Amino acid sequence: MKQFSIARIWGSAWAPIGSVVLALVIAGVMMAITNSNPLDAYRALFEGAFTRPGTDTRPTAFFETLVSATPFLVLALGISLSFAAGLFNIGAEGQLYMGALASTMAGFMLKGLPPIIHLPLALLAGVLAGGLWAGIAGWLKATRGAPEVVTTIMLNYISYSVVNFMVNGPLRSTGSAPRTPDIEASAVLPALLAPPERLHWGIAIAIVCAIGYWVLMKKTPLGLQIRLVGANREAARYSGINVNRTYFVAMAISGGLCGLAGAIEVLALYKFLPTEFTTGYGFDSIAVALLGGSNPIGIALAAILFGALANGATYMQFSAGVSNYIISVLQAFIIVFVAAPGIVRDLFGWIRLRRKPAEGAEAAGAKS
Amino acid sequence: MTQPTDTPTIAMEMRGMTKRFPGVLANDRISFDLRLGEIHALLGENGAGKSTLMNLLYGLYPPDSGEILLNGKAVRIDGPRDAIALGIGMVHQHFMLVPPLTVTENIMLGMEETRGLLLDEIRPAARIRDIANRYGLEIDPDAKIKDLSVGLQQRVEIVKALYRNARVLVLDEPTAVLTPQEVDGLFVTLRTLVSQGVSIIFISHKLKEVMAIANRITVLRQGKVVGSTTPAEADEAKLASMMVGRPVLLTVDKTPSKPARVVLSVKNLRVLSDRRSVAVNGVSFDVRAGEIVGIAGVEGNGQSELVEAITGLRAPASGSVSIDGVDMPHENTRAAIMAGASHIPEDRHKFGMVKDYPLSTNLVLSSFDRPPFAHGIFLDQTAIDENARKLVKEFDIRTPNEQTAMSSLSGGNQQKAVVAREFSRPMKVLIAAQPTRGVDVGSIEFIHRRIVEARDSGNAVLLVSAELDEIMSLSDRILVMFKGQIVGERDGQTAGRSDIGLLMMGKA
Amino acid sequence: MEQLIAALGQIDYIFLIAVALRAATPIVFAALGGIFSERSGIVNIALEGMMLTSAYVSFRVAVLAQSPWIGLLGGIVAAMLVAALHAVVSIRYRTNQVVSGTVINIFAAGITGYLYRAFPTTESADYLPAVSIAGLKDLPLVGPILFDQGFLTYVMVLGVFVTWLVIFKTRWGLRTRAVGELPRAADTAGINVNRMRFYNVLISGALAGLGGAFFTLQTVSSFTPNMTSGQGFIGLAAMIFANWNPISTLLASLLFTIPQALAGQFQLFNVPLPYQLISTLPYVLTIVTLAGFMRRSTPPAAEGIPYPEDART
Repeated sequence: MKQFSIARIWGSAWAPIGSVVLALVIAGVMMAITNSNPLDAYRALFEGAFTRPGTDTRPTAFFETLVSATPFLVLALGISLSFAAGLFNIGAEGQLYMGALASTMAGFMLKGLPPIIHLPLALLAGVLAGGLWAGIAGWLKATRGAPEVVTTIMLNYISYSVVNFMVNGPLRSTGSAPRTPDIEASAVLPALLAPPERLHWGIAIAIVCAIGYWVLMKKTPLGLQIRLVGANREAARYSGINVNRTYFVAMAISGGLCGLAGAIEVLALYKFLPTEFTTGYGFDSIAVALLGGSNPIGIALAAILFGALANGATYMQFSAGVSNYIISVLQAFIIVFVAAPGIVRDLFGWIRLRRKPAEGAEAAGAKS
Repeated sequence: MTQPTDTPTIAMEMRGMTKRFPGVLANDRISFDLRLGEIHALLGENGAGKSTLMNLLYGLYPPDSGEILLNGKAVRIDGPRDAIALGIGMVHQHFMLVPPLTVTENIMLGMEETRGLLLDEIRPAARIRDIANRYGLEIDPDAKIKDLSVGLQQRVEIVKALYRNARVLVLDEPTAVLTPQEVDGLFVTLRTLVSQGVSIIFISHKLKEVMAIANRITVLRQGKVVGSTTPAEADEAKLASMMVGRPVLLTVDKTPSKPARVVLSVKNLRVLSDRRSVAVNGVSFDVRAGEIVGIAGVEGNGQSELVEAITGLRAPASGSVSIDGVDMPHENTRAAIMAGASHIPEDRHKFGMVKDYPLSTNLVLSSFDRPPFAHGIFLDQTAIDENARKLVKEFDIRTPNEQTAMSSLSGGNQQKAVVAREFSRPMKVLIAAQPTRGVDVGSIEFIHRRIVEARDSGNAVLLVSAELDEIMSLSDRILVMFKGQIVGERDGQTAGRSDIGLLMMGKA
Repeated sequence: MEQLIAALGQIDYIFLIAVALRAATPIVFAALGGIFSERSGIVNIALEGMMLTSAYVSFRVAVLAQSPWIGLLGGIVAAMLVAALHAVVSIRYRTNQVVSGTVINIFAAGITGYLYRAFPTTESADYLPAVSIAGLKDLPLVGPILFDQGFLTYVMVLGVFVTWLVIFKTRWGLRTRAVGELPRAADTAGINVNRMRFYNVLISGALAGLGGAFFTLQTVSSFTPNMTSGQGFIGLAAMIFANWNPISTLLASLLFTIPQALAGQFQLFNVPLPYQLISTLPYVLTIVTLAGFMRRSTPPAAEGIPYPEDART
């Protein structure tokens, strides 16, 4: 076992933390330029995300943050797994959609089942739909070398149209609004607390997924196989690993997780599928995955952060008058800094937070 | 050869060159001079510092200290552009030629001539033909590099240097990719160049060639100059011990082989290259238990594709490979591994290891999904670590501990790790491709000994190497491969070098 | 089905191709940008984000200055700035170029989305002119296709040939190709590899800028978030299909837009196909193209690998 040390934790965590801090600074500057007070805004953001207590009609802030964080966590685990295999699953959004569609269909089309069967079945439908959708890209990559970075995005666009078509057409419920019927009560993913709290069992499922992810990647031959393929594909091939099958499996598991996220959202919160099921969760989760790295604790923390941003933004707008769309700016900068930690390092150095030369030597001195 | 006068003119001199990289002192106060019109060989084993010294001359990186003089005047070389402007030309070991571009485009890269906004290729092509005639180096300016043979590509590199008016020409391991006859052709070219006033530095680790072509020989070892001598004053054995610092066994002791049953059988194998040309064109041979079959041949004649087809890394177009009578499915490394094939790959960085992962993981790359390294669906990390400790001891792998990343190990130790892993599985046939490339002499001896041991334990061994010396000292039977076919078979004990050389050229 | 056959007989095919050429404009611009960037060795997934940025900026600048030309300039500059970001992150910070490109896309979507909602406007600006060359446009067959198009479409066709000329017949193109195939050969020839790559990425940004302006200065005079709808990626697919060759790229792009135009015509003739499924056509085609032609494609050999590989020499 590696030795536990503060230095090592700081060593791997400073980049994501620094990225977030820097992004907060930049967004703060943008707020100041447009005549808002960033400190007020951030205080409101924090309050709205964590400390604001619940009332009879309004859920507790912290629990709401967890509700928002749940899909981020599950999606980011899926995306992170694809990264481990050296693949880029940008199709999380589309897989989420297909998972939502499938679980909705299982939710309202199957009637008369006890919850103990109906709920897992509906969740499973979501997993399978997402897994299959990603599997298409995985199979194309494995057998035809088609770059998954492009095919998954194409599948995203296709999925929007498919969901739109289905909800407006074959699945449309009677009535004026374009939406599916409600799912059966037996398919609902129950809440953990009494209303108005919305915190539901999805968070438990997400935590189980995180633990499962860790076990898979660190403790099983399949996880090592996936990581080896991502680290050196040719060496993996040479060692007898079937790389193409690994790509397919990795994408399928990844998509399955993303589909599960969609299923959870529908079965716990929406309880039907509207036409405009736009969430944007799939893309934000790429940022969560990058921020969290390949370790589930980091991903969980990053998911809570993004959940906090999503949740606190409304209160920030209400209390400090800052447009909640500044969150998109914040996320955008976080993601750039996470992708290029060197920028963070350079900027921190410029802000006179002098780092030890040991880190700088890699960039400067060792060039010989 | 030009005879040096009593006070020979020094064309180029390097004094006190020192260069340090993280963890290694590559050049330690090296002083070296090149006389006008001489061929001066720089001899040393892999990692001795020869390439580093020449990269300093060519300005690829700056020295920590030292100075360079050209014709007696100190000069400053901040990059290849300066070196080229000063008349220094370099033919690298790995050619700097862009395959999809033509000879002319490659030669004029960096000093292109234009007519208005567009490229002018006519004037450079004419100049290239002129140089080719003057030095007897026939090339077609309009040919694409990817269509040229390796020997012709090397010629293009030489013309490229001459096009830039090189008076000092550095050749880094130029004969690594040539047949013995092509080497002779190169030597004729070098002598012509020298007669026209060009001075040549010839970097090599090949003793025979250095003895044949050089006027003077300087030996480097571990970053320092060991000494300078001439072919008249030294012989191969003396040079070898200068290179290594102790007497070196140039041949491997082995008892005659006693071949038994056929283990590896290749029948009518036809394999296509990445570019869809025919790389292996109907090859058949057997390797028996207890024998070492060596495949000799210049690189690029299909050996890589042959090895890949046998080990399951590449699907053959037709033909079959069987191990112990069992037909191997196409492009299936796992089947070959489970059938008892162990493979030391020719490119350990690409195939043989995962460099950012620990040594212990690399030692179980092909066996981590089953007992003893995995039970059910879980890995057994303790067993993996225990295995690593055992192999490190047995194969003398120099490493701080078993969790060190592979990238931190030296080339020789990385190769020893690869060998250790391949030997630690149940083995029936060992396929070793360029097993000692980029490896220090001590590790070379170790690996050779292990290969002979594998054979003596009753395994079949297929050795593929571009180093003819290695083939000749290890093989019981030698097959020569040329343009994708086996063009000759000779007995390992009695084969003659020039005979094999002719076969390697395709001339029986 | 009968309606389909009937429609097929009634369609004006010349008009169809003209529509397809017009629709191909942003796709080809993206693909040309991709060619410059990738031939120099930098994988550029970020073309979508660059186009989106240009679409937004050219619109706002055009409204502000009440001139589509200044708007066009603004869009090009904005796209080049985004391109510079991709270049810096990929080259100087040696980030995985696919990650960098994806990140840039999300970044661009986020920033333009924020600006769109934070500073809404109901104003609009003039379009770039439609250019209809009298005389030539009445030529049979080619007339309406080639000589009766919007300004940017002309620039696009011109751009295809200029790109071909630059890549294959100029010093810049030769060095770019060398840098993308075997950078250490270019390095030892005295060429600054990373500087060449940087400028080529900027060029790709400029071209993406032209492509982005198509959405807001030639098609509609307003901006909607994510209005580029993946055309940047379709451009990439066209580039791969065309083997990084500019002229084939134009033909490949038409391969995507002709079926789309055809589907539009079917709508006109009341062929009963649901519009949502029709709108998936370009994306499905992209997937099919990539699935069918990846094996045949030969990308620049050094693509995606930072130089120098080990940050040592």
